[in-house]
Amino acid sequence: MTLPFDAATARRQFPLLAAPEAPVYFDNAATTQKPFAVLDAERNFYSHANANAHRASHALARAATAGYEAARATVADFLTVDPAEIIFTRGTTESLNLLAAVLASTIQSDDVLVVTALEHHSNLLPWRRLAEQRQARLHVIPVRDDGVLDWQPVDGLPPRTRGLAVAHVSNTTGQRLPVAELCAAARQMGAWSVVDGAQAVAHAEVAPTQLGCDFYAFSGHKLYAPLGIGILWGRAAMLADLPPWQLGGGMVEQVTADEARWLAPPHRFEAGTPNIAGAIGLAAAITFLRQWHWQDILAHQHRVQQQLEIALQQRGIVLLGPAGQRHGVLSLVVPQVHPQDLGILLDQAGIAVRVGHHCAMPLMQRLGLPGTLRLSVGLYNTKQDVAALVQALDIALELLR
Amino acid sequence: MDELSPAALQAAFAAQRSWQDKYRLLLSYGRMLPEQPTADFPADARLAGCESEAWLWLHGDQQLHCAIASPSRLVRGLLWVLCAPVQQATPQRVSQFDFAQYLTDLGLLAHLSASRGNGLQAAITQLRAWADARLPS
Repeated sequence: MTLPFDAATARRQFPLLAAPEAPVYFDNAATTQKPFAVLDAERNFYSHANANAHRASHALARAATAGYEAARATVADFLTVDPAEIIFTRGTTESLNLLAAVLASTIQSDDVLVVTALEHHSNLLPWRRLAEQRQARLHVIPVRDDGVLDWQPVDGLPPRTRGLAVAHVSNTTGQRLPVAELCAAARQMGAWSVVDGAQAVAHAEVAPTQLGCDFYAFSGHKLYAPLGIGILWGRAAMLADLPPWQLGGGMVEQVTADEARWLAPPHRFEAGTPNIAGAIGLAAAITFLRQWHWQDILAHQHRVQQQLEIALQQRGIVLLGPAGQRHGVLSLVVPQVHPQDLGILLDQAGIAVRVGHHCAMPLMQRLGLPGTLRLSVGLYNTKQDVAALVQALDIALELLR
Repeated sequence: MDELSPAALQAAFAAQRSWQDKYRLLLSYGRMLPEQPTADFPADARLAGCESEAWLWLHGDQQLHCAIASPSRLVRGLLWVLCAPVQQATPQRVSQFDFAQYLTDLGLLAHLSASRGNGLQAAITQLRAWADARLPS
């Protein structure tokens, strides 16, 4: 039974935000704050159920294993997929690097890998390296001058496209990319598709099977869950044929002097002792969020963001990305003002924002920007936060202009 | 630009009541300096950092000359304030100058986040290196 969402009530569940020295926190795309439910879940695990999972059979180990696999089931339910398709990793970056490693043999010389000009370094560099290693070509779908992706379905993908890696939502412009259409185009050409969901997971409905992609990755810490835990979803048919990445304990069925037999997915891809506490924390975050309708949380975030957009545009500030369709992040460009000066002054006024290239240097270079100031909304941001930001912004602009 | 003594700068900052006024002062120092380095800045004048671009070129042999550039006006102001007491100073004086205390006395170190503080730290390291290279060993 879900409750109506109220940001002020939700906010009280986040101890860091109640601390006297807490800033007005608009850096949620970098990481999110954690509610008591998540902190308690991790602490309870270590206090009462800590043991290695999938190794021993004693009672404590059974409890740890059950907790870990129950967490997997919770994540799977959140994404509307099968638990066997959920691989726990350290985060989006690790998920993407894992894929680049295990998909390598599918790429032949002169094949094409497609990415976009909006990608975060974590969804660009592994593919760039893969292309170099396999003597394949990396094709970058460009952006327009306003930072909006320059692609329509009619454009299709280059001949010999063998793989596609694309962000669901840009961490810089907030644009939700036409992922379903891009994945359909990839599928038609017999190419696999990987979607970077790091920014999307807290700002959109995430149902990878509906997107039509083969793989989807995101990080727990951007979804009010602990650091050091992330998810890689893979379609069962794809995972079945993939070789393992890291080798070691926990992913083998049988090891002899001469050979080794791997476990089936997902455990094939989970070598070593997992971050059981992190997985349990992620499941607790998802359970925490599900006390409300996801759409109500998204609607609240959207409202806060709209308030920000209006205030910023009233002050002559340019925003990157498609108007009215930004999902959780706003990148500001203030004419005649360097983003770092603005960030320093906002910090003085107790507002936490991010300044810089946002791990998207190629995008900044393409747009001719030294960087931007980025505001990113979380479920606990309120209109009071917006008012505080606007006040601080006015002070800063008065000093700088 | 006039070199203000540490005492004069300290008085100037102490006279500011609010952080806005302090930063207004910093911005005014930074206003006159260039955004980009000129062609004669050497490559190692670049101060590394994630959020900012900044250059500090230390040259001269018996007397220090500091040249500063940054697209960020506040960073220019901070670097200017850092260098003000040692412009045209001898290697001896630069080597003996307590930069950390000076910045603390101006009330500026406390205002800086770790990352920006490290930018100033990199500049201080450069200043020490300039002096050490010119002191009799």
